[in-house]
Amino acid sequence: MKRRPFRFYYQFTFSDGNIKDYEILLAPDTLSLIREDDDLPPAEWTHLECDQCQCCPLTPDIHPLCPIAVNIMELVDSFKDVFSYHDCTVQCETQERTYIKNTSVMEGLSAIFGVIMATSDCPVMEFLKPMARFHLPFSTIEETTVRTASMYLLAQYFRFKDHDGMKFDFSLLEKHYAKVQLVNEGLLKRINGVSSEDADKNAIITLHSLSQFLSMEMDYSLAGMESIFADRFGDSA
Amino acid sequence: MEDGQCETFDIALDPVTLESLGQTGDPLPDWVRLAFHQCSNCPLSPDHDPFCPAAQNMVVIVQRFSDLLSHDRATVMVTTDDRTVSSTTSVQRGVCSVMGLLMATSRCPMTTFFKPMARFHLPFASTAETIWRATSTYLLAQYFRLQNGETPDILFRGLTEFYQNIQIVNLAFAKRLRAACSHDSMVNAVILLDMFAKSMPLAIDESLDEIRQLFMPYLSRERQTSQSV
Repeated sequence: MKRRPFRFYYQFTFSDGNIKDYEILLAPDTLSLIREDDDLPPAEWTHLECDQCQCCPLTPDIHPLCPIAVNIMELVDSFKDVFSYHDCTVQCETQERTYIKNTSVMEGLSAIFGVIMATSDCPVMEFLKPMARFHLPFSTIEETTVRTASMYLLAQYFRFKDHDGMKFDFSLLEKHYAKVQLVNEGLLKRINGVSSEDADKNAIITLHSLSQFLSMEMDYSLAGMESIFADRFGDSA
Repeated sequence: MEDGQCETFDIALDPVTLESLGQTGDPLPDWVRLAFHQCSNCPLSPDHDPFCPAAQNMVVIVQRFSDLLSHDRATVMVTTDDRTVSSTTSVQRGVCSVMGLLMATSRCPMTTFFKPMARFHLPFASTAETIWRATSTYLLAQYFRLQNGETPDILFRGLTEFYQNIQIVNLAFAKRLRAACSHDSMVNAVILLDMFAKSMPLAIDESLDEIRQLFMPYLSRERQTSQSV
């Protein structure tokens, strides 16, 4: 049976009644973003070598374009004149439910950027793909911490289930997030020259502060949440 | 509802115990007594707990929703501090979502492991979402066990056992609700909950194959190079 793509359909409704929408489709097998046919030729700032991230393992002969930059180009163009603190209603429709929040343009955009960045086949961001499958729009720091830590442990289960050695150790996850910060910085540099207003930039800055938080000691971040989990998973049911 | 009728239902959780506050109606009907179709695996005794804690949580919703028909369509909106979530769905799916949350946040000792999931409640969850949430929550709980010097269970043995017990709870609970309700939406909501409960041990048996695929970025890279993820 052919599986349908995972779909996240975002709609921004502004106070003046204007609507901007954006559809994200993920291939069910690879969780890669399904790209629309390009109307626009790739802008200068999407070239891999233009402000290439410090940690980027790609080379321009094989990847002339930055996979994330190409995928966010349309969004950046569409939001380049929007203020980040503008209030709007952001709606995200998925197969199971619709999420709605009255919030800033920035928060809505950062939710979309988060999914696109994780699913653009950027090698640094690959580890976030399982999170994108179960994307939670407008997630709080607490939600993201729990989702990230538990997703990472599940990944460890799949790696180690056939042999010993599963570790409950988040140091590699923290290293991954340290690299994500470099990607955020690289992307910010890329789009700095493009837009006149700040919605897209601030959306990435939001993601940036989130990845900074997640690259800090996960044990410490989780410590405050122990009470949610404590004594509920004892030996015997 | 399609006829324009609107029902609202408010659930507040104690931030520490994650138990829901103030769902108890008064006086309590007969079907709430612990001994009435008590679950065969229930560790409580009627001397100490005259009423079933999960049933107690359900009194208000049963009073208000028991006349609804399962397959009627409704737009269900769930508003939390962080966002509003809505779905146009069947009454039974909406009730199933509320009921799952109320059972998880009752004092029932058999459902207590659902409390972390209730804290991060996801309304109208699909089977894939539920498997993902239950297994990843379970592993995070094992992390906390390890932090406390206990041995973590990384093979989901405990989770399988929880869900087997929940199936017994669901079955007995359906019997209670059958006695309490004139229509089928409540009972069918429990049956829907039970479908999730039944799918979990199967999914674990199959090594979570359904969600394993999502983790290919972790698995393939391991094969390609010795670089760890």
